[in-house]
Amino acid sequence: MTSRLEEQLTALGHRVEFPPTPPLALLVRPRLAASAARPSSRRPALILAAVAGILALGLGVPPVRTAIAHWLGIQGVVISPVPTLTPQPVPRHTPSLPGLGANLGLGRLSTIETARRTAGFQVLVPQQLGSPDAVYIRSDVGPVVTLVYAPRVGLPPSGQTGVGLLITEFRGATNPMLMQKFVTPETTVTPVTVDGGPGFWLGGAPHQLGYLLPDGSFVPDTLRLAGPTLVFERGDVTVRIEGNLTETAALAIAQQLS
Amino acid sequence: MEPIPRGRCTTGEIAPVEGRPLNEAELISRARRGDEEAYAALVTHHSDLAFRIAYLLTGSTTDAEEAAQDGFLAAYRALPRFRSDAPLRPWLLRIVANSARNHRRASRRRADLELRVIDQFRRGDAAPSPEAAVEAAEERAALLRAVNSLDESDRRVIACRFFLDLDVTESAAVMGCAEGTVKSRLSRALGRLRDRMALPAEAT
Repeated sequence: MTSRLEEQLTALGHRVEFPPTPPLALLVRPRLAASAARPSSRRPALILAAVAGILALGLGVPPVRTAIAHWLGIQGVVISPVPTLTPQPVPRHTPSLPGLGANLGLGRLSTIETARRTAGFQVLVPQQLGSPDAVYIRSDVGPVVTLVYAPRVGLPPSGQTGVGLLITEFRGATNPMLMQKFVTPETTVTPVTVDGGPGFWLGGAPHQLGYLLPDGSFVPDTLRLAGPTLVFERGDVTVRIEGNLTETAALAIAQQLS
Repeated sequence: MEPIPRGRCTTGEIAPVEGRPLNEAELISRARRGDEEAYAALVTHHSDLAFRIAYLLTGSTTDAEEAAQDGFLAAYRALPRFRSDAPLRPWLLRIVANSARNHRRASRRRADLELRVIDQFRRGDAAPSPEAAVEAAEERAALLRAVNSLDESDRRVIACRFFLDLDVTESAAVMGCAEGTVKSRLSRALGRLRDRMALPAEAT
C-alpha cells in the first residue's frame, strides 16, 4: 500500500528540477575509439589523422578524444580544459584575398542578404554598428555565419584576428555539430546572463576553437587562438562575439543584436 | 521535471537502419562488435537518467557530466563482458554510479545537492483555482525543504525511488548496496521525513 507521503513524493518527483542533460552521445562518441579495448573499425584512423593534423600544426591541443568536454548549458557549445595552447600566428592578410577577415578561415565570402536567405535561422546584426564590413558562411560544419567589422572607435583591433569584431552565429539546437572550445587554466570562464538567456564570458588567456562533428571528427575553426569572447544563446541561435573587448562592451553589443 | 519513461528513447530517436529502428538487444549486439553508432544510440537512450544519477551522487553539474561520460566509456569497454540476457539499464546505471562516486571522491568541489522544484503551470495539469495552486505549491515547497534537510543517504534513497522512478534493483545498483538495504533505508528515510513534516505515522 502506498502512503499519502509516498504519493506526495511521487507528485513532487514530477516537478523536481534537474539541470539539463548534456548531449552525452556527442561528447562520448569521439572518445569511444580510444576507449575500446579491441581494435575498432577505420574510425580511429580518421580521428588520429585529424589529431595528427592539429598536433602537426604545433597547436599543442591534446587529442580531442582524450580531452574531457564540458557542456556549458548553451546549445551547441562544449568546453574542454587543456593544460596549454601554443600560440599560432594568424596568417597575414594578403590584399589578393578579397574581404576583411579573409585570412581567418571563416568560410565563403557572402553578403548579409544571402546569409539571411540561406542560413535557416534569423541572422542577428548589432543595430548600432550597422551592416558588417564582411559576411562569411561556413557550410562544412552546418550553416555558421560570421559577421566581420573593421576596427573603429570603440572597436580596437584584436591581437588575435586583426579585425575589430567577429560575430559568429549558428543554430545551436539543431546544428549537427558542436562548437568546441579548448581553454587553459589561465582562461577565465564566467557565467553571464544575456537578455535572460544563458551565456559565458571567456576572458584572460586566449582559447582555441573548433567544431566537433557527429561522426566524432574534429575540425579546427581556424589555426589561430581566440581572444576575449562572449558566447550565449538568443532564442534558438547560439552567438559568439569575439574582439579586443571588455565584458561590458561585449554585453552591450549583445544587447543590440536583433 | 518530466518523469523518464522506461524503454523509450527520450532525447532522440534511435537512428533507423534498413527502414526500422533497432531494438536495444540489436544495438547492444552491434555495439559489442565495435559499432560506435549503435553505442551512441544506447548512450542517447540512457543519457537523461545517467546524468541525473551522476548529478544526484556528485551534487555538481560539472562532475556529473564527467562522471556520466566516463561511465558510458567504461561501459563500452566492459560491454564484451555484459551478459546479453540481463537487462542493460541496471548494469549501466551501476557503472555510471560507480564513476560518479569516484568523481565525487576525487573532486575538490563539495557542492551539496539541493533539489529544486519547478512551479510553473505545466501542460497537462488540471487548471487549478489560484488558491488551490498556491496551496499545492506551498505544500510541495515544504515537502522539498524537508527532503533537502535529510542527510545524504536518506535524500538519495528518496530521490532514487521517487524522483528518478527507479525500482529497488536499480536503486541498489545506484546506491551500491543490496536490495534489502534499499528497502530498510527507504523505510527509515520516510520515517524521518514524516517526523520533519510532523506527520502521524502511517501503515505502509
